[in-house]
Amino acid sequence: MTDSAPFCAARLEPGAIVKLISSVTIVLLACSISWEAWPAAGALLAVTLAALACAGVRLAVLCRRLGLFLPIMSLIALSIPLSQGFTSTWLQISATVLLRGVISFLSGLWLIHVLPFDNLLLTMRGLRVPAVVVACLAMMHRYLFVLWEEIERLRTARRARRFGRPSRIFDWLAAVGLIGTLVIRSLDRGHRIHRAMLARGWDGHLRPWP
Amino acid sequence: MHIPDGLLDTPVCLVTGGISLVAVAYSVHRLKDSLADRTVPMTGMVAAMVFAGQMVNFPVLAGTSGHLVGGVLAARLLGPWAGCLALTLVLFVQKFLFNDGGLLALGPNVFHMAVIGSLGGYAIQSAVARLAGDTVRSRVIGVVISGWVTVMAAAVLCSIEFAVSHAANPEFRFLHFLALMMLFHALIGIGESLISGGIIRHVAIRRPELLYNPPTTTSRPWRNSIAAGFCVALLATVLLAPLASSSPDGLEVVLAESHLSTTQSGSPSLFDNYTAVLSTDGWEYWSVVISGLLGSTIVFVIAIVLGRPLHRPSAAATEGARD
Amino acid sequence: MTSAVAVDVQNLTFGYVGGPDVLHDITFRIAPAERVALLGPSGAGKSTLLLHLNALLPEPLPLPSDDHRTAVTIDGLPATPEHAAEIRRRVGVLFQNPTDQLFGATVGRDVAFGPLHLNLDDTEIQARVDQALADVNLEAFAERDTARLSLGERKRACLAGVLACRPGCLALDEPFANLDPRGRRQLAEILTGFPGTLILATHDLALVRELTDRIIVLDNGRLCADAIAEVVLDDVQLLQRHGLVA
Repeated sequence: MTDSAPFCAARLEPGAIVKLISSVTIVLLACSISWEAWPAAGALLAVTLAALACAGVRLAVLCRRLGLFLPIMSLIALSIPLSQGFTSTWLQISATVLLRGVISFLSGLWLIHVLPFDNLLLTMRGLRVPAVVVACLAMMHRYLFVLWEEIERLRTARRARRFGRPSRIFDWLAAVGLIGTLVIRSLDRGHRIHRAMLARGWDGHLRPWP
Repeated sequence: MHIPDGLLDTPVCLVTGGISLVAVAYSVHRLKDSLADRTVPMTGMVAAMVFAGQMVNFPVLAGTSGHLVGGVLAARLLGPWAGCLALTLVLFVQKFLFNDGGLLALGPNVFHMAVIGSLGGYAIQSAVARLAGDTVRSRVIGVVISGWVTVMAAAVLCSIEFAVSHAANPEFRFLHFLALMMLFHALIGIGESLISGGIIRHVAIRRPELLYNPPTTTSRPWRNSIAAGFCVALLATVLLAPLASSSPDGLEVVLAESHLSTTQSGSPSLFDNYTAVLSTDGWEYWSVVISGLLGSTIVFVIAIVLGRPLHRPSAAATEGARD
Repeated sequence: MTSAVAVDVQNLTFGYVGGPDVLHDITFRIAPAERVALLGPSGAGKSTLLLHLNALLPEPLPLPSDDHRTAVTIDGLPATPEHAAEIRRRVGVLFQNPTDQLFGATVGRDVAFGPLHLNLDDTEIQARVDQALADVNLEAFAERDTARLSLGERKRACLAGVLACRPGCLALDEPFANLDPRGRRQLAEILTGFPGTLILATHDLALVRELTDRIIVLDNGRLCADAIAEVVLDDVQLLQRHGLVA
């Protein structure tokens, strides 16, 4: 999709809506299916995996993402019988929780692959989400990676000044200082951006942008 | 504190989602009064900043590490309405850009982190400022206290949400679950108060004007701050006591009014279960009380340490170069 | 382009809240279409002065009063809240950090910000964006992600965003900083072609001779010299005294 117009009036692409609704539906279904209906859950899982394959998600990417997600999800699912007892009821519930979490995760993975963030913002504007929310989201998205890089640079600089094996307390103090520095820099940056917006005619009234 | 999908029942997610939607919509409505034409750049920037801040590791035990949540931090920097929106945006981007966190779980997550965290956090900070005087130091103390209280409040709410999700299950031991949640989150809350308080202290020393509604009054005597801190800590414990006491009036009222309890024919009702469990004198009872008391005492100490007099570095050392 | 703009600064004194004065009694006049360099070492107050020319400082802008004349006047318009929007239309500022000025998702959308806020219709906005991108040789960049640009491209994209508003005066804050020789050459060529008033704040002497006719020297917030370019650039002692040459 080439968005040749640099500014767009809200254009509701049916494709985007369908993708959003599909993803929500899968998650709703997954969270409504009980343990006894495991064939249905299996079918949902198969559908989600098929969708991922159709979206062109490579197996390596899928495995890597799943590999990061599964341990945490398993731990959370395990915490239930850990706190309530290892009876068959709670183990079944634990398994259900894990299965639901995985289906939801895969469905979300599919969604972010087929619906780029810019399209999502345009769709939100089309759905009449308050303009200020979309504009703040766009601003956040624009500077997310800028700040991420900045914090990485601050971290590297701090690491370069560290000698010997520091204590945990030192790590905490350093981390707090890191974020504190980022806070000050980010707020100053926000003020500079505000000025740059004013310089180009910003008056607080939201127009269809970006 | 990020709940994934599957843990809570769909109706619970939808109800908390509904509450969150109303709260966020109201925050959006109030935004224009608080930040005017600075709303878009500042909210977007703080949201990006909280996101980046959450990436920083705070090592706990071998391997595991803690992270900033950011609700009370955003509230201290932007005020309640923009703070609430900023945290909502963080959760939104985490979900729809990085697939981190649940979809239906956005409801409870936004409720815990944006609504309780930011709106609730700011309310607590304002209360502290009223008690301890509107000074920079009381702002720092307010962040420390609100950091812990909001985490504990979220833990309690999450336990209730989980309980409602499993209301039909006769084996569910609510107090057991609550006790574990509160013990665990008392520690997380201490971490959040240390981190958020430390960050705000860092900012307050160098650039106090960056705190939302920067105070202009001079410092009040110490005893006011101590009294304020003690009162809030006591208040937190008092609020938790009804949950641990043998008469679960508070919880019953909440659940009855929300019509969330289910009674299946033949199986004991939710309330019967609770009453039975709560009247037992087990370790759960004490762990709830202790996590409340001990946690609030530790947070009180943190508030004193981080709220100690701020000494400004020399003008040459302050950040933000100006030409 | 709106017609070339006249700048009038009278006894401008300014300090940030809670800090010392950073500008002391600055007075100068710039005629329409004049090309002026604002030379000074780091910390001299150049950026602060430029912000005044765009009615961005002081914050908030002073209300008009009979006994107190506003220090900055652009084309006869005093820098008050009433005239702020018009002043910002006539004077286009390029800030030091292009990342902070490039807040759109793509280059095209960012450049469209200015025209969009001029309440132009869609075709006119598109035309302005295309023209501005062509002026800075970034025609192919309309769909490019603003996060993935080199420094030179970012500076030119910012310039396009400013040019799309068709200002009568361009005020640039350290535009050549950190640019490689090709980037400097490209930017210099674009600025040579700009027909309106040009104000170039820099401590880089090399391109000043090529791009400007007059130099104002600022040091420690005070105006130290105001003469034609050759006179200032040949006065080595003056340049040394104000940290402009080693």
